[in-house]
Amino acid sequence: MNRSLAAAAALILATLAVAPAQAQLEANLGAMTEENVKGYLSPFPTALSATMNSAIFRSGYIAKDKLQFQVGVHAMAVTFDDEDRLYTPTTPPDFSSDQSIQAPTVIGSTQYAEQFGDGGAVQYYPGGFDIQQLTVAAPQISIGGFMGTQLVARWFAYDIGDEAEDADFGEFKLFGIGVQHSISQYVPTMPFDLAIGGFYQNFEIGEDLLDSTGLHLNATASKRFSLLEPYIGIGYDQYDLTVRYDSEEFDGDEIEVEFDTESNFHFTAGSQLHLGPVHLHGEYNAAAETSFAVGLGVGM
Amino acid sequence: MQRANFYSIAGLLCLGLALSAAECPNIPEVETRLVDLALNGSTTRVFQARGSNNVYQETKTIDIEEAIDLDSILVEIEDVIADADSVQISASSISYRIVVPQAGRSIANGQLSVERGSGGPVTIATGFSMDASAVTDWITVPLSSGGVNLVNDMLQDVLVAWQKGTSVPNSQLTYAVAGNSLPAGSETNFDWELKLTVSIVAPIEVDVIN
Repeated sequence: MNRSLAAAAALILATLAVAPAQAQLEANLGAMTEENVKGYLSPFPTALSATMNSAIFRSGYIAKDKLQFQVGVHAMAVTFDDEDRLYTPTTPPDFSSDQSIQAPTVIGSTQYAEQFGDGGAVQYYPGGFDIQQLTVAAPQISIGGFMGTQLVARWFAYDIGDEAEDADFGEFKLFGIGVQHSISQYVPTMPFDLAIGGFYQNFEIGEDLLDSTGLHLNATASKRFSLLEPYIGIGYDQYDLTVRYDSEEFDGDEIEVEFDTESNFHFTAGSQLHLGPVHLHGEYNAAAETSFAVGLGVGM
Repeated sequence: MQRANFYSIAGLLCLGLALSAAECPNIPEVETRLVDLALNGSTTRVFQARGSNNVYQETKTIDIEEAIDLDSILVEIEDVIADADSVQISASSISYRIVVPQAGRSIANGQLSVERGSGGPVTIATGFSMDASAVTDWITVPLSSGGVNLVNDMLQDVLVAWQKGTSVPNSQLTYAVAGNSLPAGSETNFDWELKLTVSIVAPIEVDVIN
């Protein structure tokens, strides 16, 4: 598969925006200390948390005892702020310098940064991939209607080749599962539908290069008006990210970098448009970052 | 509040939030980038400090072309290097560690010089001390510009030779170390290792989805 075709496949198969540069990203990390890897990848945890924890629950209505089934694809995206594009690297242990510089993060400028040390020695820091937004898309399936409860799952796995010419593409794995339960079924006088839910996800890139898990707890309220069903969600997100790479400094030793857990409040406002068996939705999310999501589902 | 008003306000609130939010993402597209990749490479040599009484001196010669093998350093990315002429290389640090210690031994007023071929020694580090009584991690020594320039000139020749597929002229680099071995009156007997680290930047072509 040539690179363009692989790229198109990556788009069609709805994977992570930054992930295709996996091999180069791993090579970039190899020359950096753990602390600088955290700085270089600092835009990732919040962006991943914001996107991965979106577009999961889009209605407060779950039938009490009638089969519900839906298959769809949802795309979630965040736009990075300018302040995410630079970080201040710490001087590596072997390098001696009094100069403080700023270097590009993984989403920043493609131009390298240089830090001057004793006697004119130089330490280079890699450029970023010049990315303005992170887009994650995932297929999702839901099945429910059993005592006002539905199961929701996401799953995706694809290996876009590991030959040299395709080395900047890698393997992506996403698995998520959760449950949502109707609360309004117990309160017949409630003027809208209300449900609570929880969702666990695991997302990996490459052979353990990036491993992340997310937990999303949520209460969703919605009201159906003919074709339209606006909804509001209030929830809590937690996201853990671990990066593993081979260090060039320690004879290929594997370095594991754990980022601080991202925990934050999550507010969602959106609407579904029901056109018979076809269901479209768009939503706004205020969480670790501001994000938007759109999606298409088919089912009943 | 009447129910219809409540939903109207809620709907307006949702619309307002969506419209007032930060920039909306665009449809993702595949885009090609020239990304400056940064790599480190290093070469090490073990010195055996033996027999010196009070004054320690030793030299070691390496072939810089073999020691800094750009083919092996760049092997994983050579297929995607966009422009070999844009690759840059520079000395980043010199550090040492004690690998076989000698109880109570130390080196004071250490001086390290480098010499290309027979061009004459140039000081690259001076005034450093070395506690040889225990195994250590890598310890960086402060560098002098004359020696750094000499090493950088050699690295530049290594880079040009790699780009042109030729050999590096005058590729012998001799390290000479000297210092006061303490305590005086007893023979020196420890091993230490010297490391030269170079920093490399290479532009590579990468497809990203943005």
